[in-house]
Amino acid sequence: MSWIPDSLTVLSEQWSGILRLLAPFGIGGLLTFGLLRRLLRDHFDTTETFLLALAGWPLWWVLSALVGFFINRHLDFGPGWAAFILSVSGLLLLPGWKKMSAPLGRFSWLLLALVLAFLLSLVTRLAFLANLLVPSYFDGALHYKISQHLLTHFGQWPWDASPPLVNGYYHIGFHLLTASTAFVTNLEAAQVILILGQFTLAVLPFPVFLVTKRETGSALAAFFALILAGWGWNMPAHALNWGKYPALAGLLALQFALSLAFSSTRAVFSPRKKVALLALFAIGTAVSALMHTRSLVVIFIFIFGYFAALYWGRLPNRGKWAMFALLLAGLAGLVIYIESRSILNLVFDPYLRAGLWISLLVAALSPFAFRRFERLSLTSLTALFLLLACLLLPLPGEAFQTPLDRPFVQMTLYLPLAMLGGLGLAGLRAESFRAWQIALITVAVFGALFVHIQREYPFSASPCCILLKTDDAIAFDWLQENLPEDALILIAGNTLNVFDIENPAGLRGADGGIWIPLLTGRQASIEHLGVDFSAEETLDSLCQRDITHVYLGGAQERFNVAGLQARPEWYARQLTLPGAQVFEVIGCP
Amino acid sequence: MQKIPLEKALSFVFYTLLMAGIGVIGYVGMSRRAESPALQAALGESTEMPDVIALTNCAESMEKLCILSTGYDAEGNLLVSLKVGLRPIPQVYARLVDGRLNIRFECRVVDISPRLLYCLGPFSGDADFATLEIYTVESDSLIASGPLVPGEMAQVPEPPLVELPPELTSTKPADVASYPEDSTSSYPSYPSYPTYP
Repeated sequence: MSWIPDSLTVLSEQWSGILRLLAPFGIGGLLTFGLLRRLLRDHFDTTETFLLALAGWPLWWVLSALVGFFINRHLDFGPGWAAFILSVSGLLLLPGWKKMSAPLGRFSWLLLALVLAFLLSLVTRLAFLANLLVPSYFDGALHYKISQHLLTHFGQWPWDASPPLVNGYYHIGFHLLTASTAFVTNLEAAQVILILGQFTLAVLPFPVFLVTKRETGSALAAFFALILAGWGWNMPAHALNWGKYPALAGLLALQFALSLAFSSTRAVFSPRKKVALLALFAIGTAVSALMHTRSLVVIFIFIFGYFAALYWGRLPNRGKWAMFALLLAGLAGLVIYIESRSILNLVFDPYLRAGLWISLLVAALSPFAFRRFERLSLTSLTALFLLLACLLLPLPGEAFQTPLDRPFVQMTLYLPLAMLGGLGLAGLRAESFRAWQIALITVAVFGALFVHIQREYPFSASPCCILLKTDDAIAFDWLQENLPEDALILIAGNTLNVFDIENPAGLRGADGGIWIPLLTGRQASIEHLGVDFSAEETLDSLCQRDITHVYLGGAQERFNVAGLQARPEWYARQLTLPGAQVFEVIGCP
Repeated sequence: MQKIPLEKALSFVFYTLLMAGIGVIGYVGMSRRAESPALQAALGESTEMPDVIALTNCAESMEKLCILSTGYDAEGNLLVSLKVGLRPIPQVYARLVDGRLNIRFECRVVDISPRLLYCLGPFSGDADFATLEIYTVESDSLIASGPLVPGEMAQVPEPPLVELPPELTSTKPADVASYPEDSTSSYPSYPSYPTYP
């Protein structure tokens, strides 16, 4: 339970930021709740509406901010547009909603349990923030940069900035969300990204509960799926160590759209309700695409998987088994092939190495899932297959791009697995065992999961990816005080290796130096961390590029200091901390 | 499952939450924007001042003020970084004292993290051991004191540097394409939990 003191520390230190961000979160959630109650109250009970509202809270903000963004290009009012448009939308929604006989639906103990589960989920996620000053990894720096840009230049695309902030960019929805919430809460963009990331993670497992409960009718199995989705594997939480905030936000929005779709498959709707449902599904899909374009691929995969399962259900028995065997063989082949590929095989680290026991537990429960809930089980299995296949399919005209990249697949695989686990437990409980046997098995399954979480689950931020540490922060303050404003600082970078085919397109930041331009206002130039500073050609190059200083952070990937120390006549040490060093280039003529 | 109709109570909760949300944004957010004293009041009327905090390394300290690390700059200044849990953070300065020494260090809060501050002062390294004392600027009262071994603290072990394969150690800067041609010789981006392979 080492996360408890960390969570409490974060609560005591950042309560103000957490409370302030809970306000837009709550308002967005309540508006989504109200909209769903008005449109689909006959089809979703209060608990289901609450679950959908949790996943759909960013919808209002993203859409309001997007509309405001375009208006702001003609009428400058800044990110305040987001709040203004959201307020107008809310005012239009509220009167009609309030007129309903039971606007908030009916209270149930399950609803109370889910509210408490959400609060507990949020508290467990706060531990992650204990050792973070800014979002992790180099992606985190990019998201901060764009959010900050939109906060000050609302209405200007990041690629229209001078110089352009990004090339090939597809997260505008997420950055509009962070910029507008930073504006209304008056928090630093970095803090907004950090806390919103934890909110997203806290909410992410709840749509799985909705789908599992709807399919199986078992709250217990749905809770099992929820816990699996949240804490069964170190994904999707580990994605925040990579700064994959837009991807997680996209995953939440796509779950809103998919939950809505899957929860409606067995209901009969009037034409008007059908239109409303389709419109909501389209909005959820659009918002998830605005957050992260690749979400569209995942939505397509699950929808395709569902229709494939429907088709499969109509096949004669022999055909069914042949197709099923083919799918299993294909999946096994993909796993074996991807395992044999370097770098690409990291996709299985959370599932076949760190979380092997939980994956085995899900595999053991899966036959029961297929016996009782074949449609959704087959959808999950097809989704697993297609997610992995997307790693290998080249995109036309792209040398390195595939429909989904390795980190995205790695952080998404938990979703079909968690559903399989939940369906499997429900299937097992529906078998003709005696009551005490079912109770025993259920306790054993939950017990195994809790023991695994207690022993293995990493609640805190991974040291792999914290680029900016306390010594970096102190060094930056020192830099601001002591280095001239026109200093040009060399920082360490490394090649971007997401696939096992190397992409030589550019370097990504390797240590805290990546934050220098963002936090100190000094210019930085990136260089591969393998550079040999003791070589004369290196000095010549630095002189040609007008580099004045070299920065070494405290991350595991950084410049090798030995080359700098070997040439004191070229490089003078300016600042030495255990986790940060600054050298001045003095060897240029 | 038994259903209990509580519409009225829930409506009340809804409006209370809505008002509270708007209130939080309005009060805390705007007061910070204006940098008004209201925020200070919200955070606590006065800094919690224990008698004198025992100053030690943060790795082994549970106190609200502890030493993170020490370092040096090129002008011979000793830099002592501190983690602060006091709210609000008082304006402080430090003194490094031993039998012969009594050096004043100026301290400042780190811009990007209000939990960090560092103190910088001239120190020629002629003492292996001294006592660091932290005083408030406002009342000149001692709030923390503890032993400091400057050299020892500065030598806090760094995390192991990723050792590069020889083929990665190049002398050609800025030419990205000249770096690892064999993908297997390069480290993967987005590594697994917890550390690099």
